[in-house]
Amino acid sequence: MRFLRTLRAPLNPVIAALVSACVLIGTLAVMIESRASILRHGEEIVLKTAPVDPRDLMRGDYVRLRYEDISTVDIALITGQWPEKDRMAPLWLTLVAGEDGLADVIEVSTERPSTRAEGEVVLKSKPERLRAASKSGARTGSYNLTFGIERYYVPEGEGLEIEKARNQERTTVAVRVSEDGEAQIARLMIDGETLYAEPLY
Amino acid sequence: MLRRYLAREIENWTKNGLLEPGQGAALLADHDRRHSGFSLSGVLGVLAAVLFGAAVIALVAANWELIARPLRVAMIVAMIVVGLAIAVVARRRDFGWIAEAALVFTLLSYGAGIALVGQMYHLSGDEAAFMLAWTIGALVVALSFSSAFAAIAAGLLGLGYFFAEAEIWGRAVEASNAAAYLHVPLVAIAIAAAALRTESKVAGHLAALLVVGWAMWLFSERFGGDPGYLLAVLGAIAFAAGSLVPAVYQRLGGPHGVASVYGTVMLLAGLGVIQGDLSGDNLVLEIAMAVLILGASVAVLAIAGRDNQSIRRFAYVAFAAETIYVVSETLGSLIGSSGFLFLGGLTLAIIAYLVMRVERRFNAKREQT
Repeated sequence: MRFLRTLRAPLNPVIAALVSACVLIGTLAVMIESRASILRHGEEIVLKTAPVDPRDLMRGDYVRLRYEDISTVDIALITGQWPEKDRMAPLWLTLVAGEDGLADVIEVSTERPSTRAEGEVVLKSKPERLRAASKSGARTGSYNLTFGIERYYVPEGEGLEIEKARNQERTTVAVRVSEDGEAQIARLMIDGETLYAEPLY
Repeated sequence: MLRRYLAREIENWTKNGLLEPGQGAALLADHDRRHSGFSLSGVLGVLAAVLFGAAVIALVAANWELIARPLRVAMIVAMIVVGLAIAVVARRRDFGWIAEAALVFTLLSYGAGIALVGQMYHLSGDEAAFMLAWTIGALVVALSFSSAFAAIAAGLLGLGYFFAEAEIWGRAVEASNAAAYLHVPLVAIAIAAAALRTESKVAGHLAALLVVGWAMWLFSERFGGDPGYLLAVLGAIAFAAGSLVPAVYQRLGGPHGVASVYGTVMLLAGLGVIQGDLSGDNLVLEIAMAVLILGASVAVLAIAGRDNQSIRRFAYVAFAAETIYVVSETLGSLIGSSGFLFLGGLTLAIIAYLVMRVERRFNAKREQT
């Protein structure tokens, strides 16, 4: 009963409003700043998009994106310690810019690379289900990886052009990657020309 | 409406000598004290707030590029501030419902703000994080303002968060997701605290639902079990505690109360899930299961039916549904659809007659005591 009385003790509404405002607005501010800081300090790589099936699927006001080299990864090529039990875990991709400026995957690992050479960028995927069974026996099949950069919001009506270019494989996306491997879209380009550049805020 | 009805009845009772003079006024005063909050204008106010909030979300979703991003964020922040300010003023002047409506508006604006950030930075595939952030915001508002509507909102959002997690991680047997396994019950505890603080029954039910859902999720994912078994066992325990263990039910305000209702629903639903999974495997096993379900609904009815209308109704429904299921499984293919409909109708009529008899006995017993 004393517990309930303490729990139900009224709080001055002004204090309640101040606490609420700090938490609500503070959360939004932290979210924004965490993305802006990736844009500001992250290392840039350029990724080529791949066609998305089903084609011409415009969902709401964003274009769905997939990437040619990183969205599908062959299980046989994954290095690093394979988990003993089924586990949800991210995969770590090491990328390096090729001669055409587009990023090439040089390694996919279950472990975060401890060192990386000059010009290499390490990208972390969203958690994927790693099956213990895939370790032994023939590692066949592939993973469909996501990185949180699979959507591009556009003004209404402008999505179709990007989708067309994407399906003709003319679209590239510049992505900034943080120290922790988190990705943030920075620019969207068609035929190498910037269509949209993301401001910090 | 209810008050007018109550006042008329009380007047009749006083006239007939069932109530001492003056007692009626005391009863009405007690009713008013506990139900002063309810008014049509209040409900309309909250609905208006929901519509305003929905308008804000629609505005963000339309992604109008005409307004610069910082300005859009500023607009959302301004709406949050305005909502909170209205709530403060309304609380101070004792306009409880306006405060509730303003807080609902604030929370919807906050959700729109999170969605806006996602849109600004083209974030994808993080529905669970989105829902968790929104839930935490609702919890902070519910606890600080002691707002029942914010507590209910937190309960609904908490369930949304749970489903987002369960969808992402569902079906992954032994796929360890320790963080979410821990976050969901923490959210449930926070919602329960908000429900206690605001004395909101609805929020309390939502917290209980979340706990039950979490237990089933954990059970099926970590241990590869059929959640039906867990549901049935938990239901049996809850029912037994609420109806048969005086030490427990006395703390919950009497026997055959809310724990028994939860127990009944969980037990019968759990048995139903188990039977659904058995379907087609083994006729003997299925018949045994049917006997168990019919027996459980009769037992529940016999123990707690007299004192609790919700339990009674649910047990009737479960009994009728199970009977029809048995008829369809055993005779369905033999007698064709018209015969089945006829037999089903006959069964239901018999059950209706039995229910009538049982109700009459309960009533007779109640009048004796």
